[in-house]
Amino acid sequence: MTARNKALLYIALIALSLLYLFPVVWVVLSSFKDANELYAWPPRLFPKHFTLENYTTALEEGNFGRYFLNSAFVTITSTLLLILINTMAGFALAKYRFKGDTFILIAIISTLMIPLEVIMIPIFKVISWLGMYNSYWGIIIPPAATPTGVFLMRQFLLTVPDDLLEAGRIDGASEWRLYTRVILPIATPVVATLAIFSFMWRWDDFLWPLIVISTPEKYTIQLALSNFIGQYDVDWGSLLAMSVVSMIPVLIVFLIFQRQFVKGIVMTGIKG
Amino acid sequence: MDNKKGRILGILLLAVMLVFGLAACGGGSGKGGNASDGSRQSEGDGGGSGNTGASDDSGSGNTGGKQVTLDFVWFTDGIEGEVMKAIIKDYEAENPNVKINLVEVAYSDLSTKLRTMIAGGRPPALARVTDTGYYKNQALPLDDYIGDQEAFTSQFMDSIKPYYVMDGKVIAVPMDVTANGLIYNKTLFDKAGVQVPQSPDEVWTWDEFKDALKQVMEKGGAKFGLVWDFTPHRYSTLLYQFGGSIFNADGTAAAINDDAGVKALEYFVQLHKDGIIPESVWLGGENPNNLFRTGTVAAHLAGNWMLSNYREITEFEWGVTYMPKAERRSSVPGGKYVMAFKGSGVEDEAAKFLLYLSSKEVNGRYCQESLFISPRKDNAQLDYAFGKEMFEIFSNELANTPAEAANDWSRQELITQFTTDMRNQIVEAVAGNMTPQKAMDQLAALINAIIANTN
Repeated sequence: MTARNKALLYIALIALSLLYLFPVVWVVLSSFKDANELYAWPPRLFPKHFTLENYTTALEEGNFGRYFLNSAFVTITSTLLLILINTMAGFALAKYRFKGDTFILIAIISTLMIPLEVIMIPIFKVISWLGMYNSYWGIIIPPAATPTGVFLMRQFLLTVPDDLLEAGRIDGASEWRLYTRVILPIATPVVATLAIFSFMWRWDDFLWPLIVISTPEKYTIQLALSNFIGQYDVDWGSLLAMSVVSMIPVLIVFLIFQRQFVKGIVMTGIKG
Repeated sequence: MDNKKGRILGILLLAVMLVFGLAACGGGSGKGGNASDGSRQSEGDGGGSGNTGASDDSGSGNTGGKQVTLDFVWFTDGIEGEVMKAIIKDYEAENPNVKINLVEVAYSDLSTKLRTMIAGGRPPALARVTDTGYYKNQALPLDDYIGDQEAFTSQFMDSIKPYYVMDGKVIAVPMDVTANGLIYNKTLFDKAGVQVPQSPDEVWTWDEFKDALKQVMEKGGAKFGLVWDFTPHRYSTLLYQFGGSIFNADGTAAAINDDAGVKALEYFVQLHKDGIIPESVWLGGENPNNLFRTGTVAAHLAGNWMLSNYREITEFEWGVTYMPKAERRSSVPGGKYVMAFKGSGVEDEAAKFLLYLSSKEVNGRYCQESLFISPRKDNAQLDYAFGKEMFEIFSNELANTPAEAANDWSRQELITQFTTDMRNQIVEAVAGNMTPQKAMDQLAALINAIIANTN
């Protein structure tokens, strides 16, 4: 690539990133404006009177520390569970031949076609019957095994040569050892991808927690955020401030896993 | 050999996970066992100080000293959530065996939450609702608790009775009533030298109001004359002012496509065409409150519920004035109710709390502190800390509202079935895809079909 082409490419990329970044920057800057400035016309990008009022009032009034801990617990547990279940299922479906394996795969994939809204009430009844209503497990367990994850894992593991596993078996490794020592290390990029997705899904999850959780102490951050919206009135200040805070964990997770994540996209060709 | 060992290890791990999972679930929802009671039994160290009677888990009739938790599904607009929390605190102090768990959800998620809870066999004890008709079959009839129905309902404004008395039963208690009205930007009006009506005798006609708004736009520098909430309820204000109504008097047929109904919509469309109302609200879903708060809009057709929000405005002065008239003056009443549900297992305690909420003293406190209009006749004069003169105007609007408005909107069973279609038909007319006549004819046909299906 010539220097000129490279420069053009960089300019285009920077312009595009700024375009995508703009709404986020707008939210962050607006969260430091006072209530009246938020409505000011014409709107200003930078706050005229810089204030932390939105943050302090939201943190004082709502129990946001608690909501963060709740969200963190739900998200992390759910993600660990998801990785465990999906890697195991993917491994089994990719590397073992047993009666009905294709059928099981198709059955799992076909659940992708059914949106949550359709099966919401039956799942709610099951959760309620299991005594998980209004508990964290009620929001952690139902989405723990995602068909997307199983499929992603299986497709990736199909590309791993069987010889590798055979060699392991000849050396006397158990199937369990193959899973922990061979499969998991090879699958790191996919696991990282799954981890990021799962983290985002669970962190942003709204509808299901809304249905299951009924005690304010157990609210996740998204439930708490939605309460700033009334029938006629939206508390923009607090909503903006807490939205900014709620972005931080997702950002951190992405920064940690991004190298693996990019690798995962290159290898699997799948992205969000 | 190793192979087998691995499998055993796997099974072991799975078992551990299951046990861990189940144990944690049990812990999360209080005392497992009877799943349908799980979350409502008191958590914590069972019974506690308030438990005087025998704690019998079954039999909801035993109200003596049983520890109960009432789930109360709630949405908040302004400050009334905080007021309700304070009221609950007082109630809990007086009734140590009752704990009320205020489950706050956003208004737009209220129906999702409520409907799933009810359909999933786990109705909440209580909920704050606007569309009482939708839940009438799930609501707990309160007649066993209120004594004489006539004596109970006569305490409240007569016009709202059909909202909470359905099929001869009291299914909810009114918490506040609302009146549609006109809020204006005083700074812009003053700048343009336009004076708003000072008394009911000076009420503008719509054409006068339109001229006034044009002046405020030209001389006062308003970008738009008027913003109008994107709801059929707010639109219907104009309908009544033009002499129309949604249904005929006995609710057996649609009347919205008669002469007055079509004229009202034509006028509404013209206001958009003249650039007085920005199209972005009805065609683009823009929030009219936000627009008004920018200080570039002369007036907002909303209602008394906006006062606690607009109270924060410091950038310009604003006020409330009388809405203009066409054939006649009119506002539209509305309101919010609290309902108890059948099958919650704590019906008696829920009903008792409802009666507490609807009492003169508690309801007065709730409305006064939240800046709401009380539905109770004996709370007509509340000592508001803000905007007393504005409330007088809203009350005057309600007093000058024809019976058609309450007659239409109290037919909740019917009206909730077509509010979305009504809004869409108005949008079609505003967008110019249909003539107002055609839009209203189609709507009337739909309404008639709904009436035929419902009865």
